[in-house]
Amino acid sequence: MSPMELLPGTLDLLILRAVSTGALHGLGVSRRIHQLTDATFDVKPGSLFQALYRLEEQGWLTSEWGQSENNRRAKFYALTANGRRQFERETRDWQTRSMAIARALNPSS
Amino acid sequence: MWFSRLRAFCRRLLAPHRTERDLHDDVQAYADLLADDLATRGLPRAEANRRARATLGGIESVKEQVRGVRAGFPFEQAWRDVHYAWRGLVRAPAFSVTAILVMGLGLGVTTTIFSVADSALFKPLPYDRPHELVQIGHRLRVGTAMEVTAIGMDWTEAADWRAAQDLIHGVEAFTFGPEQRWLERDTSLRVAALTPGLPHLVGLRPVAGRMFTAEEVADGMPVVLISEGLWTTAFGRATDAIGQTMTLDGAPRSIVGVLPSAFRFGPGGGGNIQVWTGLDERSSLAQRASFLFRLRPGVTPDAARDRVARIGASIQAARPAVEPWIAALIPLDQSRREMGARLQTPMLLLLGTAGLVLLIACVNTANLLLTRGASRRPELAMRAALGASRAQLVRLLLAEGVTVAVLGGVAAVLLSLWTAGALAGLVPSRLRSGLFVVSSPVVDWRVLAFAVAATVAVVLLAAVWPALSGARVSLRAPADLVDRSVHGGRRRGTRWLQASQVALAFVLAATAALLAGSFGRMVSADLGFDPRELGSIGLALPGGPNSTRESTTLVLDEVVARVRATPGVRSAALGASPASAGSGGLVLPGAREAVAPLAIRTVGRGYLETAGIRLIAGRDFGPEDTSSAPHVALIDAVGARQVFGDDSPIGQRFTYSPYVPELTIVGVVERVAASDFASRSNRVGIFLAASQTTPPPYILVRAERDLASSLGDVRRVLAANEPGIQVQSAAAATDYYEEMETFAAPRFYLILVSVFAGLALATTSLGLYGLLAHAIGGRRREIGIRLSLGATPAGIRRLVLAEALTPVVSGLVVGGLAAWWTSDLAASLLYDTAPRDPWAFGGGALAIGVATVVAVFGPMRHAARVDPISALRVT
Repeated sequence: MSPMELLPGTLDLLILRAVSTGALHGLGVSRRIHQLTDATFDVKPGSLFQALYRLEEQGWLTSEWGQSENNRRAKFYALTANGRRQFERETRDWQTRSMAIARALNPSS
Repeated sequence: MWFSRLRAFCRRLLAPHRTERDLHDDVQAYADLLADDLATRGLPRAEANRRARATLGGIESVKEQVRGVRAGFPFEQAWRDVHYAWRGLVRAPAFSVTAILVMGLGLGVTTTIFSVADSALFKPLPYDRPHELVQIGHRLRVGTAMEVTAIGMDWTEAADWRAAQDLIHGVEAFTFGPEQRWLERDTSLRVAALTPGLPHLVGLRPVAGRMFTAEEVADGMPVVLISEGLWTTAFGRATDAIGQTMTLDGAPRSIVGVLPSAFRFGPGGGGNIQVWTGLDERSSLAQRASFLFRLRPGVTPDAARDRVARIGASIQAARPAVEPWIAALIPLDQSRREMGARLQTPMLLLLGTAGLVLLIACVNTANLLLTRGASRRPELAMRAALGASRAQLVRLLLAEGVTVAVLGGVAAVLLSLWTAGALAGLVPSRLRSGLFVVSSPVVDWRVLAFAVAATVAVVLLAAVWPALSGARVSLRAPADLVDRSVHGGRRRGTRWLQASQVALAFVLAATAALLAGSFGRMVSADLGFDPRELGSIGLALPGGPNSTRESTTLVLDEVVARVRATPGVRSAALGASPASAGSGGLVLPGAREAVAPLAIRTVGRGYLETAGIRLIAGRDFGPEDTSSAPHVALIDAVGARQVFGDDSPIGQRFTYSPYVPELTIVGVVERVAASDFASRSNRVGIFLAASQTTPPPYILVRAERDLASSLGDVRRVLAANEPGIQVQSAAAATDYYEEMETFAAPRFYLILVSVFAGLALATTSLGLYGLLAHAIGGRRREIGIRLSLGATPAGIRRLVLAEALTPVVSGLVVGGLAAWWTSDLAASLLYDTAPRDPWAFGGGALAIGVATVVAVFGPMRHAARVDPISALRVT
């Protein structure tokens, strides 16, 4: 199946999810999302970086230069305390919304 | 969340290079890691790198995308645009200097005039609760056609008012004295006197030193206060000015304090006082004191009207006055508003002409920007080809226009700072005292706010359209890509702009010519009397409680006789300078309303002869006109025709006051120019016999040869023989026109409008020159072709001239129509000049012609010298 378009706003949620288990660099985030969504979505680098920088400015992410697995210097992004709260908030909202829509679309209702 | 964005923005602002490097490294790292990944999967390194880069889509592209969403991006972008615009302006100094100069002059002129108008009309009084400050006036002849309100009372009455504690919170007095000579600096100073509590009453206090005390004034101590202005100019604001001694008119005085520049009294009184002395009931100037009252807080003039009337009645019951009056509260504000209403037309005229200059500047700048945009077509087309959107191109061009406007605005503020003070100095002082009640024109935050608003308006007018127009590049039209136009077509816009500049400049030039003609007629007008060697002497009579009208008349008759007997005096008579006349209203018998305003002159026998005023019909005053005889008057011919039409005025009766018996007209004289003859007041001149009314303490003197020496002789004769009489003033009769600034105000407006017209013409000429130079530059190939096909240099010059004349002629037509419609606005300022005077229009056209000739001279010569070969060469 060819990769689908991401709904606006969902990229932020996916990024927060990706770094929720540990700090990742840009490529790492991209790969993690690819893995978590089972290759359903393919994130363009441009959109990814836009989102990363935006989330950092909003205070949900923090960044730090570090060493990658093959000793390359890379910028690692991690969740802040505020970011974690935001992530939990957005996850709850998303679940509420998707359940409501799923119920509405259920042929038996 | 917005807070952290702001913090991020600030952080980026403080370390821009590091942020950029950071971003670059971050994106680069992504590419490198991706390449590593591909390499470990077996791809050769180079291929892996290429593939990685392709996936990324270009590092710069990603970076640009990131920049687009960062906090404060619009500011960053605006800054980049301005920075780029600045560099572009620096690279084209001719264009930028011209544009900024033009803009600066236009905005500067408007801002300066606004600061003048603001000080004169708009600014609120700088006092504590100014609505509580009032003067108390006596309304005389209430209910008749000749009602008038006199502001002036004596100290006893002021004390009576003071006693009404429920109404009046406090009262203080001030008065204006003659100029005094400052010995140490050899200059004259304007001096006034005040009671020590006056600054406190209005809510101001000395900026240095202290007020003098009531005891010091009562004891006659020689203490003075100086104005902040004098403190700055004469003492450099040094603190040791306090305590220094100034010798004024020979008497040493000690400076005890400095009053702020906000402390000035205008309404008709003459602001700009430099030295204040003490005043109380016993001072020498006490007789002419004006009183300022502060009402109890909460009391309004309207609500207090009844109380005020009752207090006035009780005051008169105790001390009956010559003419009964009703008391009225006159807010300090009101005099200013009335003064403002009188000055409204000239102020509006000045604002209007300044606005025209600004408009011309805007049009010129728009033209310059349009031309510049056209010359940048290839660059803009390139940008569009590289992916710039229309909005981005507009922003680019707009940045340049905005930068020019803002720099022009800064130049304008600097110009205003420099000229506002100088301008105030040029304003004739009577006008100034009426205008600058609040303060001299200063560049304060109000003026700055106006300058900002004007700059914004300018940007909208001058920069937006050229930016939109210039961005309209099409990638398909080859002419856009390479600037090789044979016939520069898209110049219609600039020609329209040029024509409108000519139109506006014409309106200004015609207005200036109109004012010039009016002023010329004013100074050469027939005054109605012979001013040669004619002087006026003002006297101070002994007065006192025993003086009656009869005794005063006897004294004055004696003085006149003595003056006549003085050698060197050809003739003398009782009466003030013919330029001076009192006011009133002419009321016909049985009427309640006045039919015309009057210029009243009270004169003695022989006045007409002395002044050289022609008697046209009837008779002059004679010995039969005693105080018990029927009261008579003379009327001027113009006034007689105005009031009585073709009927002979001789024998007609009228009055000017309900307390004076009706007068019969016995003679007609020619019109004499009063000090307001230049305005359109058109007062009917009447002469009253001094023997039948209060004789004026003035003597008109005509000298045989030299007026100055004769006046000196008269002074000596009077001093020797009439010790009770003091000569207060002795000057040429026409000096009164200078004193009342009859010519000064029209001269001031004329100079100002002429300067504006000059600026407008210079700007228009410059714009025309630029237009032609650019046109010729664009048509070089065409000119080369024409020359090689046999055209003569003269023919080419005609071509250029035709190019120039199109906007000029159409501008003249439009300008002429505009001037035709709007000329009535200036009518009230003109003397003996029709608003649509053809000479003025001709003068304006001539000025435009001169400006055009100056502008075309260079381009015409340049065009004729074009070398056909180099022009035809395809580059």
